[in-house]
Amino acid sequence: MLTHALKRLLGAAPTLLLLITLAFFLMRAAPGGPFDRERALPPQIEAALQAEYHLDQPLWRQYLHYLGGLAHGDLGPSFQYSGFSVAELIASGAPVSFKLGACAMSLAVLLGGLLGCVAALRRNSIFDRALMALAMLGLSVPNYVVAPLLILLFAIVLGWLPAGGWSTHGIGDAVLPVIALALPQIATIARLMRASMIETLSANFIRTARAKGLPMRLIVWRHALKPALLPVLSYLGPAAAGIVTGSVVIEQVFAIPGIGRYFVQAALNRDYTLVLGVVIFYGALIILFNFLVDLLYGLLDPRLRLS
Amino acid sequence: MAEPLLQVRDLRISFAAGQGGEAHAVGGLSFGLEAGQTLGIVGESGSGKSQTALALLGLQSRAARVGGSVRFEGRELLGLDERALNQVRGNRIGLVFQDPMTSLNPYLSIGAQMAEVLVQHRGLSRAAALADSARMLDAVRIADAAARLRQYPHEFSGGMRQRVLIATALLCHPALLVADEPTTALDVTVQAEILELLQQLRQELGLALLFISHDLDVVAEVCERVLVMYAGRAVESGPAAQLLTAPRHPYTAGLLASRPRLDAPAGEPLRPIPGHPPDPARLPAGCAFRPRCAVAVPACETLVPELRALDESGGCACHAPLRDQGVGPGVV
Repeated sequence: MLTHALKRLLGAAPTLLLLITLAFFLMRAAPGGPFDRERALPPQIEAALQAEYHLDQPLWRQYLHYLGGLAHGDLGPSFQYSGFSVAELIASGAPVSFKLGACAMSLAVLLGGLLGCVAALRRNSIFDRALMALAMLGLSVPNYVVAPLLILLFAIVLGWLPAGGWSTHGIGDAVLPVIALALPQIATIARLMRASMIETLSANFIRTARAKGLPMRLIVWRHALKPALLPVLSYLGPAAAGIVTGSVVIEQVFAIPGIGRYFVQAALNRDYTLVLGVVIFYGALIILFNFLVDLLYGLLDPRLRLS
Repeated sequence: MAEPLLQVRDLRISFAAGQGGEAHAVGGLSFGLEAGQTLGIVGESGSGKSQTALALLGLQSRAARVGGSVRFEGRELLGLDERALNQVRGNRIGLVFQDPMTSLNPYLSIGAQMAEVLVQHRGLSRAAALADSARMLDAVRIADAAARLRQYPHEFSGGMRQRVLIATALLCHPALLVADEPTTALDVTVQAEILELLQQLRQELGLALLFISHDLDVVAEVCERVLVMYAGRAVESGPAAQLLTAPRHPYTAGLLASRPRLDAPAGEPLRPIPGHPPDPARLPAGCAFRPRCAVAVPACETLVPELRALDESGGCACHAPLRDQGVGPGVV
């Protein structure tokens, strides 16, 4: 089991390298550079900046130079936020985004999972239909509509919660952004869970369990929940990676100092190292979370445990 | 006369079938089964035999409408609530299904899936339930039972899984075992082993057995009495030996004639019954078998034949039963 896990992690290294390489050359292929401004810099200053960041060297040397730094855990300096290294920028924003994302994801799994199960058990009831209609709504209304609406209602009209900020009003700060972040996830997970539970409940082994005279709640809890959770789990891996690396919109609307904003800003500014840093961070998380899902699968499914 | 163990009267199962129509899976089925006796139900797929097995225990699909009466141990089962049905399911009536490969939960150990029955119905502790389960695995001839209990379904072959399912169904020593095509998905040799096992267990435990199959030979091997179903109705019933040698209903005779036989002369073609079973949503007027029947008389087109006792041993639902016409078996 442990060697299998290690092998899986090592197997991810080429994936990550490919990702870095692609991101590196794609950024360079994009027109413009980090020091382009509306008004051109004096040529001497531009040349000095280029030399400072090794941009005057051939591309392949820059690439090797970057990889060399990476091998030592150095993500390089940010081009835009002068005086900050990329690692520092990520380290300052990531914990904030991570806390927010973890809360949102936990809420989504608990609530989405529960609602999906209940909807599956009361299939075609009023509750089921209403919930699925709501879920459809939750999926189709974008974040940048939901977030301001939440602020309008809970912060401005009712005045229950702060409209934005981070670590200024205590836990209240997190409530609205967590809800805004979680809503589409709750909807997705509820739909997945419902479909998966309905399918599981039609399995032959559930019929066997019923023929044994077990009460329905025991059948759901002991026989159906685990197999019904597996498809949801596959979704959760990549989704969680996306959520904990922050949302541009949510962090912008609620003025939260996470790393979500770097994704867009760095690309627009041609902040090569920051883009790469964020891409590596995101890529590594996706790989890590998929790996965790695989491990969980192995724990849940006895057929995988042995092979 | 004392009431038999199981008495099914006028069982009707139907499904809604588009534009207010109704598909009749089972239309007025009656039979009885005494304690310790065996009854086989034979029919093609779609004849309603599996629906009957499910409906006995209220396990039919939610879309099904069930009517009639199912009395078991002196109690009406139809219309009981889930809680009351659960006290019968797996406790007084054991149920074994067709597909052993998918009928066990792949995520739970065999021990967990067996012991939970005893914990539920007998209130045993887990340890005691596991000990009883091991004894029952022993009884269905699974070696090294205690170790096997810790294993998962994928570590068992199809035949072994069916043994596990039979053992599970028998854990609470039910009065009746309903086996719905228990050997259909298995190899012939394994099938023979399972049939033999069922016979032995039945005698050891004094079980009544309701055995459902499409295979007349298999049923005749296991059961004293046989009921032949066609399009949701009983067309013939009687002692197994008599049905095999002297069928009275043209459908039974057709089933017998269409079996592949080893002792038939080489090159002799099989004689399938011409045509197909009717669509249960559009049953023909009169006898449902008439369109495929070689000996139909005018009454068959308008009158649904009732199952009438021909002698004390059995009955036949036909306007022109074969013996009456002096037509021997297999000549249809």
